[in-house]
Amino acid sequence: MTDAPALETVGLGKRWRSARGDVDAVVDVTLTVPRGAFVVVTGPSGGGKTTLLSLLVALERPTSGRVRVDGADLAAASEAERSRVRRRVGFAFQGAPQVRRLPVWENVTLALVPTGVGAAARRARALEVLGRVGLAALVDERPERLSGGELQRVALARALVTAPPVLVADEPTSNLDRASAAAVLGVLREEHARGTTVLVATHDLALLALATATYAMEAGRLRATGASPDGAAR
Amino acid sequence: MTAARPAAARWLALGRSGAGAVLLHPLRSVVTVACVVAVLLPWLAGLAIAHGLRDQARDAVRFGPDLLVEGERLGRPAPVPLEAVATIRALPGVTDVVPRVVGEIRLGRDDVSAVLLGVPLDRLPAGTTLVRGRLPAPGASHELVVGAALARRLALDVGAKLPPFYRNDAGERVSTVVGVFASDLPVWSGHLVLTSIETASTVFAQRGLASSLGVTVPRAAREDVRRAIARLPALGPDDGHGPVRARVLSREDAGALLPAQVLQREGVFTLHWLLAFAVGLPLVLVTSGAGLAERRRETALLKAVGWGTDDVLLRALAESLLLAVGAAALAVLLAAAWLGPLRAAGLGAVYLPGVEPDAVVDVPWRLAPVPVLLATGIAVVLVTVGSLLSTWRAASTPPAEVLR
Amino acid sequence: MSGRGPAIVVAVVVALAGGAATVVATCAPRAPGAAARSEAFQALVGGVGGGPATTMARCARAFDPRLDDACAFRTHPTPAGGAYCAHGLAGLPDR
Repeated sequence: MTDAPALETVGLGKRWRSARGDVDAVVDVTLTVPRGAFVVVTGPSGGGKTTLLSLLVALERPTSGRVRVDGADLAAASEAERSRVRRRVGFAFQGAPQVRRLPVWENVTLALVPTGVGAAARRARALEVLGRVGLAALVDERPERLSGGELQRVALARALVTAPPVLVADEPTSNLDRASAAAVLGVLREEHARGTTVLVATHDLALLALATATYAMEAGRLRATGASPDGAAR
Repeated sequence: MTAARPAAARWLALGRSGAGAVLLHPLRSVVTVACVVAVLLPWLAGLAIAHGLRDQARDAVRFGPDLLVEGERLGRPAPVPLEAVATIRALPGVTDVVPRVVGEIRLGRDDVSAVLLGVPLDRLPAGTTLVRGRLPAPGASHELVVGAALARRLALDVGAKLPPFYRNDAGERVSTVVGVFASDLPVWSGHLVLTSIETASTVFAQRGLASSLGVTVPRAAREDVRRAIARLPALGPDDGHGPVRARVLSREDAGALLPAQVLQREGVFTLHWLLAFAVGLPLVLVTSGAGLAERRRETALLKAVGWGTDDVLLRALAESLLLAVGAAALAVLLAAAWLGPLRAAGLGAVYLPGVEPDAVVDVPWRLAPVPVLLATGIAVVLVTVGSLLSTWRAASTPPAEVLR
Repeated sequence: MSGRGPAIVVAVVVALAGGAATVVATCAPRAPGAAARSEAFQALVGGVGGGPATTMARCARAFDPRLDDACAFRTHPTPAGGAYCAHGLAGLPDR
């Protein structure tokens, strides 16, 4: 298990069925993300980045190919096993969906509820991760009162709350002003420095500076665009 | 942080989350509770009345005669000649025989139905707290005690004069109301008119006859006396139309009849309720899906952050149980309020023909544990089935499909 | 769901259930006063009534089943062990 890559796909494909016919969102993607890597996937909107990330974090089942997270084959996994995988992978959603009427701290710590962590401990943990993304003051606020940028950072805090070994983020700096984007970059850098495997889909070229490997995704196909033998970005 | 905690802590946390979900969807919670209450309330109230009636019916049997003797002609009930009193009293084992007249009369311009009960006045106690006013005096004629509902309907009070309400070749008499039954007596007192057996015979122009004879017999001799009465060739002298045969009903027979009668009403009520249930079930299923789009999104988010399907279902179960138990308890409390302080307003007349919509006589009721537990079980099934079904379907959809 | 919300929900449900249990506990046994009045009345009149109607307007049996134990209008079974009688249909008031 310890030797297995953090994330691995072989011949991964996802086809959507729609009224206008089938759409291949992900086509034959083979990708290996070693432990401790910082991988950045770029590409135009509609290129398949979000679908690829959804497959990697077990939010979707692939149409073809295999996905392995920490060595666990998601294609063959039961729903319970896929849930366990989701708990080991922090995922910051694009659009940052929240449960309305729940305060920020409860939204951030949703993943901890089934583990039996008490409310007081969850709130303390929420304060800690919200502090890292600069939102400690909003711990008791309702999501509907937050700006798009603040929601984006809340989503990142929620991904960090279980201290996952793998962090996947979809456009984590979109909708953010320069200062907030810098704060998010700082958090991602810290996580990587701690040994967390990070995979980010983004348009933000600033993130390329942190990458150990970069890929471009277009029309569902993934293409390596850069990596250095010592793990530094190109 | 994510280390596995004891199962109890997990259940507690999911239960707390489920309790919170009641407030997360206030409209759904309120509509669900309202639907369950609407289905359960009439049923609980109806069954409570059935149980209250059964209690009173048992008293009617317990204080009735050991043997009830009626006449029979052409296979139908017929009056009993009063000569039979002496005949039956002479049978070995018989300790007492009391004749009485029971029949329907119509009073007032609206022909209000009443039950005229004539008894030997020397059998009545000198005083009673059951009546406002007094009982008919022995030897007096055309003195009446009327039920509270009847008195209210006809605006009668103690001392009121009742113009002749019957046709009789022997002449007609003005009757006097000397007493009014209290309102907290059994429902059958409401339209009762109690008088002497002589007055009742005059009203029906059937002198020398009684509706039935109440026979007092020690238990050991009851069966022998019953057989002896049934074997009597005739209950009185031949009036030219052939003998009047005896029909005998024991207290045990009556005891079997009375609950069946109340159960008949209970059965009809249950039938009505089943129809309401048939309508209520899809209603609850629909309401459990109220705000479904938001719930689907919420469930998808929970699944996306690592909740298992069982976690999501446990949370929904906790939410449903709280809603169901709360709704069932609310239905019980509302039923008690409806039957108690509100005196079964609107329900008494539906359940008991003859009870005024603004009932003067108290409708008896008793909320028994079994129907209440049954109601709670039904509420739990109704709410959890709808909720768990929709939650399971939401939890089975890939989260990305919903969150996209 | 935040703060005291779940606790308040549970408290309200427990209070409702406790209230209902209290009502059932106090109502389930017949009130002694009501029983005494009912018994005194039946003792006075020698046992009257017992049926699901307060008058004999529809049939004597509905007022007191002992008055006509061979009523031709009874009965067909209904759920919960009850029976159906044409006179009792829909429980219409007899006015």
